[in-house]
Amino acid sequence: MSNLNPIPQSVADILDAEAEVTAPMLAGVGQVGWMKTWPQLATYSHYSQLKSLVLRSLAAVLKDCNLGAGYDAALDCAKPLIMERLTQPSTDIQNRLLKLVEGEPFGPKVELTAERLAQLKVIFKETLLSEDWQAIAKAAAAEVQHQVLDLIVA
Amino acid sequence: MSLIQTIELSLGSSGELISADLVNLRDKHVEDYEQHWQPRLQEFSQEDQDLSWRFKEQLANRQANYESYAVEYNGMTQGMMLLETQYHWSMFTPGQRLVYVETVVSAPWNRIYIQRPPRIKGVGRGLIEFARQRSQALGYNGLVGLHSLPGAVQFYEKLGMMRLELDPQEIVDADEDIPYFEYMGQTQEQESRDE
Repeated sequence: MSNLNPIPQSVADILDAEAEVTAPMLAGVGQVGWMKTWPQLATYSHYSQLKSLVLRSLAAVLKDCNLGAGYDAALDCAKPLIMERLTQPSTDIQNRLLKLVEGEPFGPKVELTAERLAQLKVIFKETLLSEDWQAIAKAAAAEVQHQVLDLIVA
Repeated sequence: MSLIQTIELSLGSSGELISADLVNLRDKHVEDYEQHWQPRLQEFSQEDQDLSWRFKEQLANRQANYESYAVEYNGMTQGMMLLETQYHWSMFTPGQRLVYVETVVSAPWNRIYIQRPPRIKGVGRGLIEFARQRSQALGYNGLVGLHSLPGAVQFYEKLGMMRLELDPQEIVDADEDIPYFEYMGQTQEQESRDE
């Protein structure tokens, strides 16, 4: 047996906490998000690794737009849109996305290099529809407008 | 049956300590899941009613980086676990591999919201503790990582695992705000206690 350190709680407390777990599994994630439609994303680790890279890239792309006060609103609008558009992307887009994280270990975030960002920017342009970009722009504009009009109230 | 070790559990009704067998997952356990677990899980509309443990067993047989285990008591499967041992790295200790718990479940009758009192307590703890021992044996300093469902968070906090908050930028909807927990390695734990 090992010489691991003892668990820092009374065993009884831990056993009670385990019995009272209200989740169906103690750990592990079933099919969420794109996992439902991309068989290549075999585990939650595959999924969360790619999703993290995509969402960080999206944030970086919008940051580059210098949206100022409208940035958060634009990002909040854009995130669900890209998640939805990537639910069933073309095989070509799937392959390009998977290539971006190929061979990367799970756990730490995959580095958002300039090359990856450039490739993802192209993918966003191909994936998000014109109406999506319009919605993102409107969300940013509305927030800026809101901030300015707040000055009157203040 | 290839016994790996015995683990100490307790009976939910009396608190009496019992010894259960920790073994490699095999057909018998998958059959227990299909024949005995699934009807109860379906009755209570549990999300894990459709987990393919057959697939997980095959995965562990096919790929060396996966390992699957089961806990047996009185001839019945009481818990199951799938580990990944090569491609996951620590979120807290850069450059350090860890054992990642892909899935760990306890039998439906060990869950208090399905059966009160639960038949057996401590199956999950025993499996997670074994994952820690595997990490030690693999030279990963006892590091273990996992994604917990929100309803199990308190259990991992009680186990003394560290929680990593998800970057808000990466949260799109609440359903996917899935907490990550990790056991620190032995050295960090010692340093933490010394401070």
